[in-house]
Amino acid sequence: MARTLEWLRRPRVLRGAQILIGLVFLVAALAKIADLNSFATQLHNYRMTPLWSENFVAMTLPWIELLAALSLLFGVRPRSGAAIVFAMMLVFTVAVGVAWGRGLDVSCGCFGKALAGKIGVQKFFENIGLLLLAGIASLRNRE
Amino acid sequence: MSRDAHNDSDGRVIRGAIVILLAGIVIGLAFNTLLRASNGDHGLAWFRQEVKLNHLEEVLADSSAVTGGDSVTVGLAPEASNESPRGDVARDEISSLPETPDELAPDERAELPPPPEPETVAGGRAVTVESPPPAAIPDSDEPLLAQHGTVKVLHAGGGAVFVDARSAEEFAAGHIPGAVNLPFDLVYEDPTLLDRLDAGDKPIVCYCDGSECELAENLAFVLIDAGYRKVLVYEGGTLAWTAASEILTTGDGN
Repeated sequence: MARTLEWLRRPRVLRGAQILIGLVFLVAALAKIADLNSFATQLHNYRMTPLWSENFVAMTLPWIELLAALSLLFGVRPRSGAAIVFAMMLVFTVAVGVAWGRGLDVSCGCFGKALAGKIGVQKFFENIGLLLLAGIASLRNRE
Repeated sequence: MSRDAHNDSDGRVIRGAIVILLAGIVIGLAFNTLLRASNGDHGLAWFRQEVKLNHLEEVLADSSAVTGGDSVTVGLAPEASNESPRGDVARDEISSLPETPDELAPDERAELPPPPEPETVAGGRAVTVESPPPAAIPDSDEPLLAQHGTVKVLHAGGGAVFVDARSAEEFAAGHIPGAVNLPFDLVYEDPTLLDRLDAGDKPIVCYCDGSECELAENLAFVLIDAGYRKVLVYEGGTLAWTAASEILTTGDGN
């Protein structure tokens, strides 16, 4: 375990993870920004945020994703970007898991309308994978 | 490799994250302001408000009161209306109709006409079911909620097109007889699927499973956007349908 962690903290591995998760978030953010109304509808379908706050979340979250993605891709405060991405993935994974558990028949909303995938076991484990990737990207670099 | 990654202390990481969060919020709000200023259709409203649809039964009652004309009655048994969670407005204007064949005496059951006939004679007692004919469903630029009694009469009279807004799998597992399947999620991604719907001037009744399902309501708004003006949302959907001892049909409907 310690050796695995040590290997994951190698600069090249960290950088690779940061670029990979950065690209995922860049695509997700741009897809949402391109169609805020769709994202707001998808957010509404989860029924997890208070109604009055849904539009606020829909109009700000994609930009936070975008800035976090850019920080990861360009290596500017990448651990800050990774921490945000990790926190978001944590929330997204719980949201997808709860929606899946409640049997909601909704689109994920993860990548806006263009790549709308349905909530389900596949989406849940995709999110788990991205959560792990975000976790690696937020590790401290091996000195 | 960035030097930042080597030297990031936890304090710097947290400060950086806060900067990203605040900047994202500011840019998001500014971007939405620009969208709203340039084209109101693209920007989001600052606060989302719950869309409350009007009930068809209330609209019909109101229009009847205004015109002073004959009230439009729909076939809904009084006991059924009492069970309806929001059936308190039009209840007084509802004529009696046995909900299921089981509620009729055996001799009455034998005389039940086939479903498309709205006129029923039961045991010598004329029970007139004044189904809302298509013309009685008012044109509206927003969907109207319809309760089970109204929906049942529309279904029995063949006076409406029933559209199941759920997925194909759920539709195949059980749907209202005669309904067509237009999954909202697919229509949302490809509005040309609406071309499959040939409703003419008939009202369209959208439904889903009625619990926490908003697919029917969402699909109804898409249909309104597509130009349909008699769009109803079956309040309760398949749950209300089966609760009233109505049957569901399985299969893909083809």
